[in-house]
Amino acid sequence: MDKYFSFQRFAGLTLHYLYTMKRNPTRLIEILVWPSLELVLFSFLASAISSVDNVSIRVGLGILSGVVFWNFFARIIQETIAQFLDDAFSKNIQNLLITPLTLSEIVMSLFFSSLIKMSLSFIFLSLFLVFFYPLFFASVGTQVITWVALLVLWGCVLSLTALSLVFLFGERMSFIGWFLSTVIQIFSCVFYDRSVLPPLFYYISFLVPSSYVFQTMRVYLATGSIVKSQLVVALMLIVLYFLVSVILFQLSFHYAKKLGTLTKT
Amino acid sequence: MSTEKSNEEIVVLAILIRYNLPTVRRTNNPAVVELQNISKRLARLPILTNISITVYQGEKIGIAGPIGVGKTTLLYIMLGLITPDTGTIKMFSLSFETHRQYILQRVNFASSALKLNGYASVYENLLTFARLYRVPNPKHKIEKLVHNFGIEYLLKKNLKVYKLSAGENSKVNICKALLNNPEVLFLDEITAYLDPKSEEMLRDVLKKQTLQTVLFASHNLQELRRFCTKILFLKKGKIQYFGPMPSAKRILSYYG
Repeated sequence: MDKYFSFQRFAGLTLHYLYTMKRNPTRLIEILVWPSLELVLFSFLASAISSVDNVSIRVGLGILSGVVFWNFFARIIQETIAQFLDDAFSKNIQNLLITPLTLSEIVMSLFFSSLIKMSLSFIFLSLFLVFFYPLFFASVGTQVITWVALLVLWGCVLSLTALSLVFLFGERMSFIGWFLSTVIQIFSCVFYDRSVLPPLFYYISFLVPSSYVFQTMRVYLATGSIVKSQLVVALMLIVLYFLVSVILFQLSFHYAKKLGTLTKT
Repeated sequence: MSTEKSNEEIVVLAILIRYNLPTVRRTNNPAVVELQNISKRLARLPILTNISITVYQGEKIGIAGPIGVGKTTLLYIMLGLITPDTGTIKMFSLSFETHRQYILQRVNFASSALKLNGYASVYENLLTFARLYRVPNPKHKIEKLVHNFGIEYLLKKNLKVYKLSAGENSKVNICKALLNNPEVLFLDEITAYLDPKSEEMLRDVLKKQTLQTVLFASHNLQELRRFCTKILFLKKGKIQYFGPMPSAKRILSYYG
């Protein structure tokens, strides 16, 4: 009887996160304006690099693809944490946690509303891309779906880990979304090949699923071929980290109730 | 059925009252909240020690005591936001651990220290909670509640919650807490920012719900005396007194 999933509660909480976005200009700027400005800047950089020779076109396209696809990943983490903290800062989180909501309903609503916001952000970015760098969509083709799917899944897994830390340490962890996405960006080799990393970072990058996605993406842009085995490794790592993060999330919620941090968030 | 007490029962009752021990209430109403030996330490400090109470359906219990004595912590424990170190919690004769969703569907909470989401409007916030409690016909229910508390204008103005005054915020919180017609209502200092007229409105609304059990933590002894039938007085995290409402003088003496 207990712990059943209710679509009504899931939809109610998802809409709640969307209500708070539409009335919060700061969040709208973070979702739409910030990534667009970044994209315009990098599309000019890509154009400048591409004008050197044929090889440079690929380099420019690689940088621009990195910016666009990284946005998917970072947006999921940052939005998930920001939405949760919006309620924490408003002193509403206790009100939500004493409803019959289950943890899975909360997490899925956070992810789903983040996905909606990410899609909005992507539509907005696409308009800029078509205008400033029309070559982009012709170059990446349908492979884009696989890359985005893997990055979104990886973003969800890391969000769950970040939420665990927020549960345990409360508002002090408000920086965790930005921090995690920036740290992971270093090891994800978004703009450069794995080989340029120093030895320790090089080996760590093999443990980061997004590094395989960006390595595969660069190979595709250069040769037009897809290294499927690399994407399979990325997926397996994501599944492994998902299992770990679910356990971590449940443990952190359990300890947060013991420590009383849920009432101080 | 005879309601007369035997001599033995009268002696036992007299001893319990004399030493401020919890008296067992003879009632046909079922127990809705049962706490057994609840203890909690937070940041290595003892907050609550061996709290055992039984609350019956329809009772209005005031929770009083000096600042920092654990009144809010006790409410949060009953709502499942804090896990006690020892002891058991039963609500509606069911364990909180195994029937969390079922229990939370039948209870609610309002506190003057909490707010709804600041960036959503009053209506959007109340609609969210109506959906979370799966309230049928939520629009009608919200309109009825805000009308009861004289805050229809907040819906008409479509105000964001962060623009509300403290008193308006408390009223919206109470509306939120009544959305699911809770059988047990937990209130934490909810009248702290209410004017006397609004306090009376709240009393009137709650008194109409004769079967509704209320646990009301407050520093306002006058308010507790007007509204509650029993009082739980906490001191240094322990029960100082739990029983029928004593005189104001006696309550004040507990503060010591």
